[in-house]
This record gives sequence, C-alpha cells and structure tokens, in this order.
Amino acid sequence: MSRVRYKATKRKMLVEYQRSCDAMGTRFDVFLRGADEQHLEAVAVAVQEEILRLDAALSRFDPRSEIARVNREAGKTAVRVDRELFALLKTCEQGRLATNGFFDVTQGGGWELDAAACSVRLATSGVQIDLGGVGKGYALDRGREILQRFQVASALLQGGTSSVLAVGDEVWPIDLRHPTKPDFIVARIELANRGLSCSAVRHAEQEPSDIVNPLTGTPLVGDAACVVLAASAAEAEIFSTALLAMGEWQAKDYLRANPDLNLDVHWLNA
Amino acid sequence: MTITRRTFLETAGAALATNSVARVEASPVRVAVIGTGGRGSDLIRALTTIDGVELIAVCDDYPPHLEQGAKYAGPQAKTFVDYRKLLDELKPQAVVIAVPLYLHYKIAADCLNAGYEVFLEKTMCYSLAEAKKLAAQVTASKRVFQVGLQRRANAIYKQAQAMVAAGMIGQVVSIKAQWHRNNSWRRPVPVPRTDANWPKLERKLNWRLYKAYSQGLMAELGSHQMDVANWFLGTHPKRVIASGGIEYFRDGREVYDNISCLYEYELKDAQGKSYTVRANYTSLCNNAYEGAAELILGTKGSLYLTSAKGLLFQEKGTDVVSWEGNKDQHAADANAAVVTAGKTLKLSNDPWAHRGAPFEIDIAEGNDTRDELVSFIDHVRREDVKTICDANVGLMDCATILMANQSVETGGWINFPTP
Ligand SMILES: NC(=O)c1ccc[n+]([C@@H]2O[C@H](COP(=O)([O-])OP(=O)(O)OC[C@H]3O[C@@H](n4cnc5c(N)ncnc54)[C@H](O)[C@@H]3O)[C@@H](O)[C@H]2O)c1
Repeated sequence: MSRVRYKATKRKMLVEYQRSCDAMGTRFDVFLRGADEQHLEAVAVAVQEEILRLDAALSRFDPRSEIARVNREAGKTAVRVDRELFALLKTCEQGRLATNGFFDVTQGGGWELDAAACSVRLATSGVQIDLGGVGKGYALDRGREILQRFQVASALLQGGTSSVLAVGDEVWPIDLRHPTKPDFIVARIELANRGLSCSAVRHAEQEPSDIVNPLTGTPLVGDAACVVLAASAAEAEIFSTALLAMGEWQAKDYLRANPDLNLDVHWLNA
Repeated sequence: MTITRRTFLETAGAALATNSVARVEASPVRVAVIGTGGRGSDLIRALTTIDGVELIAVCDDYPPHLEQGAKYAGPQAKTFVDYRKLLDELKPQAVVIAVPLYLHYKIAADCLNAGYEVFLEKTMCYSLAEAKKLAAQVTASKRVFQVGLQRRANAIYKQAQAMVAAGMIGQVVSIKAQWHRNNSWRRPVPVPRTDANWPKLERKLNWRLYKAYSQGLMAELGSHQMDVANWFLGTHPKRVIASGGIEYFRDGREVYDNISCLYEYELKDAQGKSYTVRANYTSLCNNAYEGAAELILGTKGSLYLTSAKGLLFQEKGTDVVSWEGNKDQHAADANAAVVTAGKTLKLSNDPWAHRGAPFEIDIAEGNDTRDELVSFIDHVRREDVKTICDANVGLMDCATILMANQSVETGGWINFPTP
C-alpha cells in the first residue's frame, strides 16, 4: 500500500516533540511544534491517551470494548451506548447515506440507530460493526481537539501511515509512496489544516483486500489506491474507503455529482 | 488443596449478576457525578450505557471539565459548580465521586451525611485518619458504599483470586507488582507558563504532583495493585520498608517519580505455622519495559495478571492440577478443576521456555470500569451494603499504600497501623 512520509522544514525558536504509540493494530505518531517542550510532552501524552482510550472502546477484536458489547447482541437486542459512540455511529450512518452505501461499517448488514434511546441494534446475528474504515481518522480528530484546547499551533498526527491530520496553518509536505515500489515517491501533497487518508485495495503483505464492497459483499481486487483530503481525518477516511470501493470511474461521476463535498482526491494505479 | 465446583460457581455468579440488571425495569436509580475530569468522564460514559441509570447531574468546579462532562452525560443532566447545591437541589439517590484525593473524605462524608449512597474513586482517602472516620461513618449510616478499585469487578482477577484460594498455584511464596511507564505524568495546562494564571492552573490540573493534594504514585497506581495483594492473600501487610525519590523529573513536582517497596505479609500454613510472604512493589515514570502487572508466585504455579490478560504458568516438575481431568459437567466431584465461565483455557505463545506454556484466563468479556458500576447500581437498587469493594477494603488499601510513603519519609520499617 502507499506509504506516507512526513517531514517539515525547521523553524527557528520552536521546539519539536515526537511520541509514538501502538494502537488500532498499528502505530500512531504525534509531532508537535511549540515553544515549551514540557508542555508539548504533556499534550502529546494526552493525545496518546485519547487514542488508546478510543482503541479500547472501538476495537472489535477486544471483548472488553464497547463495539464488542454491541456486536455480541447482534440480531438480539438494542444496546445502549454512550453519547460519544452514538455520535460516531451517526457519522458513519451519514457517511453511508452520502456515499450511496459504499461506506458501510456494517458491510451492508444494516442497523437501527435510536437517537432518543442512544442505542444501536444490529439487524441480524451475522452483522458486526467494523470501525476500521473510520476509527483512526476519528482518533486523530479527537487529538486535534486536545491540541486546540492546549494551544498547540502546529502539529502533524498520523495513524498507520494511512491517516494523517495536519493541525494549524503550517504546511506539512507529505510524500506518497508507490503502492508496490516503496522507493518511488509518486506524489508530494502539501497538507495544512486538513485530514488525509489513503486507502489501497491491496496491502503489500496481505491478500485479498480488507476493504469490501458493501453492495456486493466481495473484497476489492486490483492495485488501486485512493487518497482523499478533507476537513477532518474521519471524513477523509470515510471517503477514501468509499471512493475506492466505487472504483475510479464511478467515483469520478459521483464526485462530479456532489461538488459540495469539498474533497481533494488523488488516484494511484500501480 | 482441592478445587471445588462451588469455587467456580461463586466466581461465575458474580459475572451473572451483571446480566440480571438489564432485566430490572424498576424505577431508575438517580445518579449524580461529582468531578468530571479524566476519570469522572470515564465513569459518566460508562453510567450512560447502564440500563436503569438516570444520570441527573454532573458537577465540577473547573468549567472546561464541567462542559466536557455535560457533553458525555447528555442534556437531561443538570450542571453544577458547587456539589452542595447539587445535593440540596436534586437529592440524587447515589453519588459517584471522582475528585482529587485530598477532597475524597470531605465530599464523600458530606454525601453520606446528606443520606446518599456513595461510589468513591480510589484511593479511599488522603490520610489514614480520614479513612478511619469515613469507614466508621459508612457503617453507622448503613449506606451502600463502594471504592473504585475496579480489579475487584474484573473477571480475570476474580477468577485468579478463586484459583489462588483453591490452591491451584500452591502456597503463595512471593508477589511482584509494578506500574512502569515512560512519561512525565503531567497533564497539560491550557495557558503558557508566562501567563499569570499558570501557577494556579498547574496546581489545579496537576494536583497529582503536589503533596498537599496527592499521595503520589502509591495512591494513584499502587493502590490498585496492593489491593490485589491484600485480596489474594486475604489479609493486610504486617510491615513495609520503602525507598523513593525525585530522580529524573525535577520539574517542581513534590511527589516521587519512582518508588520501590518491600511489604511483608504474615500468613499461616495448614498446620497453623506462620510464614512470611514478601511483596515487591515498584512504580517508575521513565521506563515502560515491565508495564503494569502483578505476578503471584506460588509453589505450584505463577499468575501473571493485568486488566486485559491473565496467564497461569505451572511450575515444572510439581504435582500439577490436571486440566483435562473431570470433563463431566454434572459430576459433583470435589476434585474437579476450576473451569472458566463457558470458555476454554487457551494455550498461548510463550517467549520464555523455562516458564512453560501458560494457560490463559480467557473470560474478559466486559469492561471492569463499567462492571464495577453495574455492580454498585445493583447494590443500590437492592439496598445491599455488601459491595464488591466496601469501606473496610478501602480502608485497608489506604493504610497499605500510606505506610509505604511513610517509610520513605522515615527511612525505616513501618508496621501496619493498629485499628
Ligand atoms: N480507578 C481508576 O482506574 C482511576 C483512574 C484515574 C483516576 N482515578 C481517581 O479518580 C480521581 C480523579 O482523578 P482524575 O484523573 O479524574 O483527575 P482530574 O484532575 O482529571 O479530575 C478531577 C476533577 O475534580 C474536579 N474537582 C476538584 N475539586 C472539586 C470540587 N470541589 N467540586 C467539584 N469538582 C471538583 C476537578 O476540577 C477535576 O475536573 C482520583 O482520586 C484518582 O485517583 C481512578
């Protein structure tokens, strides 16, 4: 899959702070720039703790997670969830509607969201929620809220080298690696105040694709990758997943028909 | 010692209580949360997922945290800056308290005086005198009271405790526990250091680092793990010697950035002869290699425990329990091995050959923070004061961690305080 490289030009008077942690089955990095290193460290740890908290709540593999609690009741009862999770599921539902079903965390299985009861009911026992196509981006967006609350003016957050969020007006150059030739940089993207997500059909080590076309239920085939820039990292991730599932030509029609989405989309074909 | 089916059933029963609550359709329990910082937010989110809970109010005297708590709590929850006003105006049935340690006693005592059931975050109190007073007040009030030591609600720990009690690791010979991580343990402050409000906000948000509000690593981390030692050994330590200091994070903090403790527990064997079990406890802020875990070492086996993982290593060449024995579900055989609630014990990968292959306690289905609250609410509803972590457990835990801090300060052995 395409990889993202990040580096930015040094600015005088600013210190940089970097921290990494493992979450959501991959690695997250937090790069911060500011005047006070002790402050940056504390903020970076707070962002990381938020990412780890969300990993624990959203992982479908961890039986202690909130998502696992919902998935266990699939086809049985409506499960009361907390307001944060409900809002995220609502965002996913809006994403599903906006992409004509091409983004669907239930893989076409269906659910009922009850806003008054703050509950979710999975339609049948076979349906499971998989937030793999939005969780990293959502975690980065929550990280941005922390950065803003604690006045960090410039930062780059990334998860799994596929989701990136640039915070602040500073431009961060992002190099996109070729999906199958790791030494080859296909494009450089300048990212400021925006989220970026790169979805690829095939992971280098992994076959078949872990992205499923929710309308047909089959894993994607081919070698394409789709890079989306959007206002938030969650949006970027939702659309990179959906557009890739649509395929380049259908996606281009879709984007022409929906010019208000305010997305920048790049396609990489091996 | 033999392992009885009752041991297993008792363990499993606690887990079943979780499910029974969902069916209760009685009037909801009206709950208020005081302190909506980091932990308070966790508790609020968990409370909002529990059937039969009506979260009527949240309270915090720091507006950004109150706003965050209100967001998690939902629009039905009223917001308060002053908890006394909340108690007067709304008369909740139960109060969940997650304020800094130095306020635990005052706020919990006020809530009990006002006649409410109380869930109080660990560590129970800042001082032993306060903890004793509070425990006495709880007993006199006959209120439901629970301290937030959530390992008491964790399926892995409950199972492990039953295994130790059943003799599955033989005689416990030693306990090693640690909470090691690598960060400054600082919370960020929302204004620059040059701002006139910085010192005030620093103490407010980083209360953990200052002795007037905090008992440091032992209260914030050690209390969870020394409670596991007390629980599994069935008693409190007899004495402790500890050493700690500020060796790395010389940033104005007053509490140690590392501590090492040696506790002695006095137990009696089957013949009534006493023996000593030593428990080593350490906490570090600048190396995360060992993470957070407890090791319970016995003559026949060892238990490695974290909130997410429980592993049993059997000692080689000892008379081990037969896991394969007695597969008949209906046999009332006292020699039946302890089995887990409907799950199999999986053989896991093992990087350390001499330890042998571990058995995994594979029953973690549910989050212990949510489960401890489910249990608390259940006790409130049934007016049952025998909570999973009552005031006496809290008091013992509090005394256990405070004696280590006292030892660091005096430089010698400290005996467990007399009641
Ligand atoms: N069980 C656990 O795993 C666990 C984890 C973390 C913290 N804790 C415990 O929870 C408690 C709170 O810790 P935290 O990490 O949430 O700290 P925190 O600083 O994030 O939150 C404490 C909150 O209490 C508020 N507060 C202070 N005085 C108040 C008052 N008079 N009235 C109302 N609100 C007031 C503060 O403004 C703050 O928002 C501590 O006792 C801590 O040991 C337990």
